[in-house]
Amino acid sequence: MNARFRGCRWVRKLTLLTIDLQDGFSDDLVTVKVNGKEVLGKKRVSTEFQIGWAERLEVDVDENHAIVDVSILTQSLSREIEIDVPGPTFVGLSIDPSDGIGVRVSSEPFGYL
Amino acid sequence: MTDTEQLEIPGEGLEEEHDIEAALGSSFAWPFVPSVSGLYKWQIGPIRPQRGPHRPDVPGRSRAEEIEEYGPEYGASFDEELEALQARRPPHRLRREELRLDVDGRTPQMTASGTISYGLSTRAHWIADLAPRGRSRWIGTIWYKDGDTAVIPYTHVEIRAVGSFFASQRKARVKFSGGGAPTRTHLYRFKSPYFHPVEFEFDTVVGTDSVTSINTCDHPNRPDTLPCESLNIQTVFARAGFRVTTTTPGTVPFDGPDPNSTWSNMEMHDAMQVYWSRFANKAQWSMWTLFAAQHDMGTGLGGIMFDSIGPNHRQGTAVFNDSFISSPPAGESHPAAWVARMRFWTACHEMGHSFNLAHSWQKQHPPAWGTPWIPTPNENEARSFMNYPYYVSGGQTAFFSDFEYRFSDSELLFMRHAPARFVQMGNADWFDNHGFEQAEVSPEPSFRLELRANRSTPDFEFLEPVVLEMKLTNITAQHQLIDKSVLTASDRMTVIVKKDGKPARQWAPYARYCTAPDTVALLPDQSIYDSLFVGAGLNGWDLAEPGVYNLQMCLQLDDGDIVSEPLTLRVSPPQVYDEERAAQDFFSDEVGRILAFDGSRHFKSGNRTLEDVADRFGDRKVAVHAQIALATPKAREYKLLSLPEESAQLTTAQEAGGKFKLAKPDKDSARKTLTEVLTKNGEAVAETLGHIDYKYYVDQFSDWLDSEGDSGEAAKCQEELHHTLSERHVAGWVLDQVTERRNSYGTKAKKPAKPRQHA
Repeated sequence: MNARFRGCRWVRKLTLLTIDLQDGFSDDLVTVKVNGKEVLGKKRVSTEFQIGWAERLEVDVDENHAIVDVSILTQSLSREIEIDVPGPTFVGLSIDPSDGIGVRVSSEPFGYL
Repeated sequence: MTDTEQLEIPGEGLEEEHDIEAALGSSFAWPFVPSVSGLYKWQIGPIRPQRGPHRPDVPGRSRAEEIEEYGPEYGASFDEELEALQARRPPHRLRREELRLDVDGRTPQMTASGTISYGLSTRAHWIADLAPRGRSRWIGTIWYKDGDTAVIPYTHVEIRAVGSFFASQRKARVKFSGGGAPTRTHLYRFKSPYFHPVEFEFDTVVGTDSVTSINTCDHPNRPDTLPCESLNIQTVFARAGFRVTTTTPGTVPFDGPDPNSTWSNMEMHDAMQVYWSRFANKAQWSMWTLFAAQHDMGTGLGGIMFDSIGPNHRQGTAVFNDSFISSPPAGESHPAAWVARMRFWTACHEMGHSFNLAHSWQKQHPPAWGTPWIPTPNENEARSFMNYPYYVSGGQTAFFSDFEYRFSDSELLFMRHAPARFVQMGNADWFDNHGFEQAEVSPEPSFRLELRANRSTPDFEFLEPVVLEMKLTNITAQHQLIDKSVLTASDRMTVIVKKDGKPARQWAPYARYCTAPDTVALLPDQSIYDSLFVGAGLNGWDLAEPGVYNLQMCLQLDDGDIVSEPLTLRVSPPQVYDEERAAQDFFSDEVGRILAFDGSRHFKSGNRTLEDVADRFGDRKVAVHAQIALATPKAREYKLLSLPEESAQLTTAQEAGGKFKLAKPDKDSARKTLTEVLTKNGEAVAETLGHIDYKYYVDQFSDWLDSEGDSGEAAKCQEELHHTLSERHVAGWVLDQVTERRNSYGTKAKKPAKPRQHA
């Protein structure tokens, strides 16, 4: 439990988890759950292929790790990823034509060009 | 931002030898061997002799061996060669070929590619890989064909390039073989060490810096073998194979309070239209790069090829200085050099997108993104401008330690050798406002070609056959010789019709005319005219459905191609349901042919349709066309080919017992109908037929009346014609022709020559 005592009350420490849907999305129905809670359910997700980015969602997590469950229903793909979240963390999810859902994890924001 | 200037970069403007190696980056070896890579051309047409010694010195090969292998003209004097080429010249004079030879220089792809153009609309593209067979000889297999592949049936090429210190003496001889076709050998002349031209314009938002050059050794993390040099963006693309020119850099002013406010893609697109001196909604080897502060997406977007709006994409890119590309990693030892390199790299990366290059890991992509030109594997670890430095194993440090400021081999192959329409900025589907990319338009044309509808706004009623007018004007200060029938439908004429949202189609007339040249002198500002029934043809009814259409026309003249400005016209929706119903029968091949040839007594079904249309829609413009087409063949005896009903197919008409029979005229009906149509409402008739066809039909009718002995009525027809045309402010010389013809009736005076030939 990532909590600490401040004064006379308990305050939960929240950490920002940023999830970018990146390459390979094309008119897809995508759901993302973080720690069991659905944070994205969206139709017609498509990558802007000039920059390799489709969608961004930001989630507060109150634990040192998070379980991200992503499903791309239109392509019958799903993957569950356990991620350490020691501080602000950035996750990039892409669809690879041969390997399914690919994951990038970074402590720095992703840059797009 | 308006003047084009040649930048002083290595290899710029390098049509001459001493520049070539600098641009393509060949290192000098001793003995020095001139580069042979570049663009070569071959054309059936006027050949301008260029004299000079050029017989290559090929040790160990006799003249007899050369002749046997390459044909009699190989290695001959230029005069001998010219004579041989002209003797072999096929009757078709409008064939052009380009060869791109890519075998030496800094990043040779050991590839040859070619484009074959027949006229304006037939094009084939081929690519072959090459393996050396001697010092200046390569053989290879053609592995890619695109377009009208029937004109390139071959499977193999053998190329011999003649190097020289003088560019004008370089040649490449290509022997095509295989594919069951007779071997063909062509001699191509060297034109440029570059494969394509391209023009850049770098504009900067006020208050923002641009980075278009760097010193490659300013940052210590680099390949040990990387030459230290001042490298600019132009040189990067020159080394990729492009003859780069730039327009003068400009600034984009900002009137608002905060010039650093963010930009949306739409705002950048608008700025491109306003501030890019070369902006045009058409395909062109030209692009605009904007240096701005920040995109609406924030610091996470370092640059973007933003131009995916409208029909012509990939013309505009932007680089954002206030983004992550200006934030060096923590602990970076040379932050300023890191930022400069990243901004430079980003500009080249975004400009690479304008050449239709995807990211290195996107070579295999979802089908919805489009079909790749060839199957290409992803290049996740490529040290290319098109990869993200921080995506490779080891991150950006590993990337730049091996990065040589270049594109990958597969990207160079694409940029240099893929069909140009895949690479060229703004190109998309054929004729998305750029139909005549093959036209060789003279920079100083002698003529202006206009395509126009003879009405205040180019709106056509539903069912109304679209008749346009062509005008060719001498725009020089001297008289110009021109074939009188140049505007008659012939192989010299190409018309493209594109309905919004649909692919373009080339109009295919029911008949093309091959006429003996009849040259006339056209004085300065003088024009010749003709009409064009473009509504229907062998492709069917290209202009039938309601909607907006763009049309453009090209004429091939001896000294270059003349392209008209695009004409936008609208076909209105049907006014009543009956029109929609009638359209099912009207837009048929029979009706199209009847209208194109001014009537037929053979096409019974088509004539019934026209009678029905004329009867039910008498107040609509289509009725005018229908009545003329129905009445005209009735005025005279008509020869009809009659075949026995049981005649077998695939026999000649003679073998089948066919005979021509004369159908009797129905003069009273023809006279009544044509009088009613052509003389009662001249204004409306002139508008739907156009002035040229209106005058033509009235002339035909009045001549016929005169020949029938009714010179009085004939004169009246011309008087009505004169009145209508003068009301419509037609040129005086036309009215003079009308008066002359009117006065000729009842006398033996010769009537003015008919100026029109129907397409």
